[in-house]
Amino acid sequence: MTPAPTVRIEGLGLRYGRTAALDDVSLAFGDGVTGLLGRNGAGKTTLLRIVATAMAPDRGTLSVLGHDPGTAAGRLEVRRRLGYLPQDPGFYRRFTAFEFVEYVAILQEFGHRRERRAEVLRVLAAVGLADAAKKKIKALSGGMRQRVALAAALVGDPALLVLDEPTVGLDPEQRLRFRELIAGLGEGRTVLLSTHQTEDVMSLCHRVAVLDQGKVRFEGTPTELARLADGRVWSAPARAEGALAAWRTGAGTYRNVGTPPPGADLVEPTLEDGYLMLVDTSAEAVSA
Amino acid sequence: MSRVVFALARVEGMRLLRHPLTIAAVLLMAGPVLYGWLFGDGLPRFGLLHEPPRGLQLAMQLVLGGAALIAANFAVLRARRFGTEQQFAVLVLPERLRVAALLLALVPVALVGALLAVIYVGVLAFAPGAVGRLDPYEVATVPVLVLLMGGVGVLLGRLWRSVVVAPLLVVVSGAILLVFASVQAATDSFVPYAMTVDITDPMFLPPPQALLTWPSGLHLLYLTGLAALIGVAALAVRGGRSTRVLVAGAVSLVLTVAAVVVQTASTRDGLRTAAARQQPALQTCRVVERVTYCAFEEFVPWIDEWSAVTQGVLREMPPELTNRPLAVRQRAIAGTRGALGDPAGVPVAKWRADDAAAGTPGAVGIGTRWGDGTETGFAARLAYTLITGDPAALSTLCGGLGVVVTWIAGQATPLTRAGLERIDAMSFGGVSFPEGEIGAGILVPDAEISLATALLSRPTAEVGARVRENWTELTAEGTTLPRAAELLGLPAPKVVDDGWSCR
Repeated sequence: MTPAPTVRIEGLGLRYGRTAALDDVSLAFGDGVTGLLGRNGAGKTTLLRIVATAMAPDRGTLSVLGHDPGTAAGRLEVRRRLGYLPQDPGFYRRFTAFEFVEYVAILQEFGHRRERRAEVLRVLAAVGLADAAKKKIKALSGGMRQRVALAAALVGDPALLVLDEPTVGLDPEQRLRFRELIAGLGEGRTVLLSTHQTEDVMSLCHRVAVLDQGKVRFEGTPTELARLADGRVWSAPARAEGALAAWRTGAGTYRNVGTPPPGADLVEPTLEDGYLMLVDTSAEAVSA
Repeated sequence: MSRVVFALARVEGMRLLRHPLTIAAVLLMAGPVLYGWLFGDGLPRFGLLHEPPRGLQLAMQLVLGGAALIAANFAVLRARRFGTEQQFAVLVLPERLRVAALLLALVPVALVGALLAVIYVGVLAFAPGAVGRLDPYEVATVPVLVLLMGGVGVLLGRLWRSVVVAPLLVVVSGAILLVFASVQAATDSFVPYAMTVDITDPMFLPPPQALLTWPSGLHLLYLTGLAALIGVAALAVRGGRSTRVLVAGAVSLVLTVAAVVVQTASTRDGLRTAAARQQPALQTCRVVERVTYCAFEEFVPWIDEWSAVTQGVLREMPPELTNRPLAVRQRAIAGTRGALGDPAGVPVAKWRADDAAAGTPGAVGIGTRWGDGTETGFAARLAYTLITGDPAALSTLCGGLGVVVTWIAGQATPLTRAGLERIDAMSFGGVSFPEGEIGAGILVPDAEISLATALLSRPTAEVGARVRENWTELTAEGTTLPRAAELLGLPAPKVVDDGWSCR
């Protein structure tokens, strides 16, 4: 028997004035890391905020961890088992890492001092910040601060973790370390990860959804997303006319994405190619 | 849930205590006092235990309360200031309980205020010469004021999401308090009771306990109600209006309004009664070395101090002046609300009539403070009364009489001499020695004070001999300052017409 999805969204819609931020979005996520891909303004953050109970949709139904966030009681139950790392998390710079996470732990109802301190130490250790617990946040690097925010989101061992572009602004090494962390978090819980980084999706996510202009354009596995570009990527000595995108590779040939000419030298598509095909051809939502 | 609220309150409380503004406020409150005690004049002497908390309350409200207001406001707005609103909005503890925790977090800061007040009053109580009975309500008012101000900070943060508002309010409210302090409110108005601190009361003229009409207990109840009302308002805004909160708000409002109404009504009667009372009937008289001293009950221990000054004055008087019956009677303005600085508001005529009725006609008045120059004022009025035969009226003493009166007052005891230097340093144009510490009394221009000060630097016996030798001329009306200087063997001072209308 297939377990019920952690998050089930049906016909969700939200407008900001005349603009539809989300338009009839239906999705379901279960355990493991699910990626949300899309351009800026595609509706990813809005969708994550709704799932994280930070805002309410105009229409549609939503079930998170078996509860309806539309009711106060449901919202409370969701929040008890939710970890949320927003796109641009704030920090109390004069707090130490420990103090900041402890503050979050209190707001997550860790009333017992001993339990709370143990939990804070656990999550700080989980993100590799055990040695930096006593450092003021203002003295930490960007990557370390992001890990503090992740530690705060991990307080209470949440069943659902909502991460909105957690690797933005990190240098390559920090991004790799963060990726390593997130990979470990997907075991036994649902992680919803919004990102611009297709490498993050490829290496972390077992499922991916693509949002474009508030609509779901794709939902499936990363491999299935890549396959959307099957037969649409070819190598040529020059940039092909009419290609959606083309760039010179290190080998000196051009990698073209689009409609290949007859007899073209087709190459294996990547997830990036599939994503490009999807959003640039304004295709209708494709279900894998 | 309550455990979580207390955990948050503990964290926020620690942060409020460690806030630079709180630390600065504590240092500002304790620093100058400690410095004065350790390196200045030493421990305060002749403290009035029923009075000092009033000044302390005002300072605490403005300084520690102001710090609590701003720090609490910053704490409420912390999530906004540091951009954590999004991530904290989805955490479990409801907003109203976070606000409740912050209100609770003000308690440690209030306790620091209470501690400072207790230390201050404690030192005052154990210092030499302390009189009066400590009013625990007045001391308890200090932490409640700090709570109240902190609550205002929380409420402001809930109403306006700008960190500029709180510091502005502290400045504006400080200015308003100072303006009110200089405006005399009607004695039966509700205004003094609706203020946080009774600043309409002239703080440097403390009443004796028998005439003290300030309803400190009711006022504390009013402040507690007001603090609760502000706390409830902070909880209720932005969606926190639960039934319990609304009921608490209604109870606080009723309590606050009722406390003001009852204070006003009860004190109105008390003031009338106090004003009508014959002050001598409230006093105890003692005769020391042929001088009768009458003091309000708690001030009786000061009679020895008064006697020492009296004897110092009598020592330099011609014997014929010291043989008359002499009485010293304590003055107070009933109900504590004399018209500050307005001689018409000081009941001199009533005092004189009371003196006569009590069998001490022409008594020399003495106030309800001692030390810091008041002893010099008493000595000067005593000398003037002995010389002229009249209790000190509103008059300016120029020429020889002014010099003699000031010199005799200054030489009476080491305290009167130090007091003269002290009040001279703080005065401009002349030195005033008012009766009852405000209003009517004598005033000696600067030129006469300078000459008297020059005399004080010479051996007392030598100056005393010259004074007695030339007594009649020196104390006669019309003896000019240059002539007085000549008689006393001093260089003639430069005479400047400074506009004084001399006696």
